[in-house]
Amino acid sequence: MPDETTASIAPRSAFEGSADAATVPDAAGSAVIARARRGAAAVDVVVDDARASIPGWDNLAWIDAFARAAETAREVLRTSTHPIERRVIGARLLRLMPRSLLPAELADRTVTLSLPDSVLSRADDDFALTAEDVPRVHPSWTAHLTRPGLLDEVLRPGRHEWLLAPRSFSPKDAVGSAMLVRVVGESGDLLQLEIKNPGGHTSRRRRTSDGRDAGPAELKRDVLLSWLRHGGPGGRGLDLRRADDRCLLLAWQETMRERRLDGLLARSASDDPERRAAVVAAVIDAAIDAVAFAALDPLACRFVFPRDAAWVEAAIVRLKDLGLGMELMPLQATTPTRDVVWLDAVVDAGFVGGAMSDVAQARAFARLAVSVLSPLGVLPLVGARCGRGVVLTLLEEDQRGPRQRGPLWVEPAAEPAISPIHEAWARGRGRLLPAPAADTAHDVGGLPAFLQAFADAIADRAAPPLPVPAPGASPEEPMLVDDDDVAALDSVPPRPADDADGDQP
Amino acid sequence: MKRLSALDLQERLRATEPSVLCVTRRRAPSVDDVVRRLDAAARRLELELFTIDGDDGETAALLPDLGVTMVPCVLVVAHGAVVERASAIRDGVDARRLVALAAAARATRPPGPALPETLPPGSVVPGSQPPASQPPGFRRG
Repeated sequence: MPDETTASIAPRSAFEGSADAATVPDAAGSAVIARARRGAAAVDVVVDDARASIPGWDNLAWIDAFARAAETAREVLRTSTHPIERRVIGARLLRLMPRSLLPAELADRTVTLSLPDSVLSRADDDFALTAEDVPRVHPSWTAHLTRPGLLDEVLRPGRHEWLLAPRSFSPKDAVGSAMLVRVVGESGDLLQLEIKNPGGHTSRRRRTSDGRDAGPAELKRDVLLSWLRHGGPGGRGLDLRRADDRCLLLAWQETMRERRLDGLLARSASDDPERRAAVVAAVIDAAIDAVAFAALDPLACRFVFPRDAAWVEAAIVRLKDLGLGMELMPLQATTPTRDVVWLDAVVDAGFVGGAMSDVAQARAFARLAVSVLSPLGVLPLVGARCGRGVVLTLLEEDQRGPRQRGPLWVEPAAEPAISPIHEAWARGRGRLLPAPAADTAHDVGGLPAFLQAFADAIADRAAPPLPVPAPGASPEEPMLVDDDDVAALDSVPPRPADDADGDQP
Repeated sequence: MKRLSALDLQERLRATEPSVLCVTRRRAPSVDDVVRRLDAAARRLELELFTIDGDDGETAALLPDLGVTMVPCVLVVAHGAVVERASAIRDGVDARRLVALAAAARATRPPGPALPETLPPGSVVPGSQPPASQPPGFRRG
């Protein structure tokens, strides 16, 4: 135990970043936000007092302070019915979570539970969409998807990174239900492939599950095409009849605005293919962050108590007395440990509420990807058995024609949130992918039309009507772009940096 | 309510029919309450609840691939994939929410982007507010 005289008096919690970020906007006018602000102020009194006075090492004192803040929060929540109010209170309580009591895998991460202020302030309208919320994407960003023979060109040697193929092609080289290959030659409908095995080596021979040679690595073009277009079962776009999905769309758009990406998409795409690819990558990051910053897995911020410390029993009793604590047991533990989940008792499930499991976060990202990323050539594959993430394949274009990048594994609740799929496989993620089916294939050529229909549907039903362009303005060049937008990519903020400073109790 | 063996679990994961699975262990706290709440919710929606014994080595070996790290753990499975995972089932509201997900997944919908049916500003969408049955303050642990 550290010396009391040298221990930090006011330790920064794991949630410092989110706590310092504005969670409640200053602008008045929203009844929900005004109520949330009043409730949060009462909890803040307890939180601030605790952070100023409790020694960093005194875990029981921190739990006691957490319980006192929770008691205040419980009183506030007796009259609060809106998920946003509960979310704001939950974010306040996070400030009293000592880093030393977090799950080990998350102890060095900043975890947030914050929605952009401009989105929060629309809670009164139940996040109803207006004409200003219509996604504006210049046709040049999607035009390459309508190119005839796009996918056939992508399958040419040198025009793709790695492609997914079925396990049965070379079982020894597969990971779970799939494997990675790339085309090195072609003769008619038969493609000669190079196989990437789990160890990272490549081979042009197939192998049986017991390692015997099974012949040259050749596969029919249709098989690779079906995996390339594979969308996965149950994949759906945003359902904007649901407040959760409207809020999600708004959060993504606000993230895009903050990073000045909306302006870049609204104007003609750059001639530089690498710059275009960088914009699309930044848009994907914005979609991931829109989900990951606003939602929190209750398991990710549970208390993990040490097994034998004398104060643990008192702490757990204190939490349970409040109706907060729910004890869990690790799957592989031989003796019960004392993990206590509390967040879901305070905040509501869903994107508006803020409590979302890693699976729910992945599915939210998938809905966003289907609706707004796929028309940019970012094809999502949903339905990985673990449910934690989504596979993305990027279709791009350079001077030589179409090209493919990926596949990438996106897991919003994890760090890293996006990685090449073979790295995810090495971490045990995304290993069991669904087999392709004709009724779950992406209609690549039709995606730009889908995006237009998506935008038109919002515009048709939203009020007030779209603003009238100034005389002389081209309808294809919306007047949303600042000159600074050209350089916006260079200043895209990264995901919040870890602010671990190690001065936890 | 039916307990699944490792073989049953693999078959269940291959099925297109959605299911609600609850991972249990003998010494895990809260398991009985969670199973009882889920079973009641499942009966109401005419779904069967399946339990998985995390103490059975053969069955437990399959669980990390499903992202199960804590017990109790409830998995909603549809189309061969986990579509929701939860550990804390504090009350009947939580249980009904999870079981309703499985019930909703019964109807297979076509893939592709969903076209929005937006509502005018100010419209309140059913389900966007907490259910009336949810008690004020914290929910039961």
